Amino acid sequence: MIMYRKARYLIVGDKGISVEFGNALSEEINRQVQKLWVSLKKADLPGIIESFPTIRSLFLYYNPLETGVKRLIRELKFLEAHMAEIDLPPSRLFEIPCLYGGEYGPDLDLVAGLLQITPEEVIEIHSGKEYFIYDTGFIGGSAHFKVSPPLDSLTRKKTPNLGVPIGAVLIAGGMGSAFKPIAGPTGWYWIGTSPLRQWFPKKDPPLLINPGDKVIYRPVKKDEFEEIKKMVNESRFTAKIREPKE
Amino acid sequence: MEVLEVLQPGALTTIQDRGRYGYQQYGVSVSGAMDKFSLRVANLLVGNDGGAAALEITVIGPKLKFLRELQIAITGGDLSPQINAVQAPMWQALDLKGGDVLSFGPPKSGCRAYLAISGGIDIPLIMGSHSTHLLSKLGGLGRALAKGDVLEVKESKASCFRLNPAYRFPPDLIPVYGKEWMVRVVPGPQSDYFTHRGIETFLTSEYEITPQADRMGYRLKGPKIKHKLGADILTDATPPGSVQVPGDGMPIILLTDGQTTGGYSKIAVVITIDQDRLGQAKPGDKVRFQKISVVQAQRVLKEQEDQIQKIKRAALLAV
Repeated sequence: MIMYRKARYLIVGDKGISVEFGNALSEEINRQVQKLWVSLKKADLPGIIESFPTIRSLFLYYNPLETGVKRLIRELKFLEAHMAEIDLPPSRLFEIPCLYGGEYGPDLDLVAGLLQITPEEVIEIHSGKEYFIYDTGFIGGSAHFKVSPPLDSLTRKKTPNLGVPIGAVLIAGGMGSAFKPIAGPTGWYWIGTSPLRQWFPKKDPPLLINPGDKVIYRPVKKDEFEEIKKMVNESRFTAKIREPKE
Repeated sequence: MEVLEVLQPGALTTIQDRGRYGYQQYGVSVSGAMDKFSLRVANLLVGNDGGAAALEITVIGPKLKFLRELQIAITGGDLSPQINAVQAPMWQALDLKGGDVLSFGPPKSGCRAYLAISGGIDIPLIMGSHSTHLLSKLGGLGRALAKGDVLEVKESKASCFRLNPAYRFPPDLIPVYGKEWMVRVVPGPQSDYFTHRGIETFLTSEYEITPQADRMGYRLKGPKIKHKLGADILTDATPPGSVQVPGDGMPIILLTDGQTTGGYSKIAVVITIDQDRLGQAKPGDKVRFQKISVVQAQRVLKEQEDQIQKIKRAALLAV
């Protein structure tokens, strides 16, 4: 794990600061990010428009007409020094039903071929672990996690998928995307589809799964997939939250 | 109160305001006008709050029929606006009556015009903004304007200011949009991912805006920028203005509808007021980058804000 001894304060244009805690996909680094975010929101510093956590850094968007970059960094360093006192809420573990392979995961066989294992083994590995959610970014709040070996050896696809549907379960570059919130192109491998929805623009918060949560996949057959999908469409389905084991 | 009917929608006409803030944590783009300066001025010229919902009109303008007496102002790119087939002036308030038709001709300069209507377009706020984000179908009408749409403005004039009838927008403040753009940038958070020569290439070369240019961002082509530590980073925030350089060495400028996070190294970030200017740039235009410090960037932003406040004080009564 590469966690910095002290966070790096990076200037991102004339309105942004990124506080970077390390350069690795690590739960410990991500928890530092979450802690600073919690303490920043509590501190309610003047001039901050919004802030949000990413994998290994906290991004702040500020109004330079109301605060200054030097002042802000000073205030953030103070918060950073007192972060040990912050408690993060416990993770919720979401169970994600997933229909693997076939037209619902057209890249499953390709992934198995690249890793020289069977498609069944890909499913077993992918669904056999609780994953910690690092961030919810890109478009519509894709929830991202770290995949374990050998799935983590996949790089991105050379030719992107021009369109994957809502619910597409993706992996690439050492990471997984829980399931696509919004249909669109992707350079990641599409191995399955979940009937769940991540994106509820009229709800607060608008996402089902948020940073700090955990997810675990449960392979389902077509029948159950369709049944859950129907319930989701009729807003009758509540995603199952389990007690985290890990 | 219904105020206009869309006879023809134009190439891409959307409802926009100053953007959607506070929701990037959920993957919601800032969105809003590509050229927020022009949007604010258009609003002020008709007595609206600078951030009221207005129309962003892209290259080929729409044909709109107005249903009642009201005031409009058109700013931004000159897309040859006409009222009842007679050329209409820009950067000033125009009095219209019911039945008047606003149309557009060939684009003369810039890329995006802004049409503000007295009262401001009445459309529900979603996540604190009226802005349309096309990819997620969020805000505004959830899409571009279509033939037959009817837009409304707020009935109450409570949110409006009274206009100073003697006010004329200073001609020297009207931006001139050419085809060559000097864009000021602050060094990016991953400047250390590039070789010295790579950064020099970026700052001294001319890049062309490719046809892959939309509200999400502009892909550029030109001399290849060399990485030192590789193109890919652990995904982090990509605020509007981020100039990211993927493995092919060709820069991409992310703009207001851009994704909230991304995994390519960012060589620089375009300063806020030049993001507005880039909103007027088109495919085929040439871009050069000039490095300035964050302090300088914030100084020019402050100057522009002072200028807008000055316009507001002069154009409106009883602010």
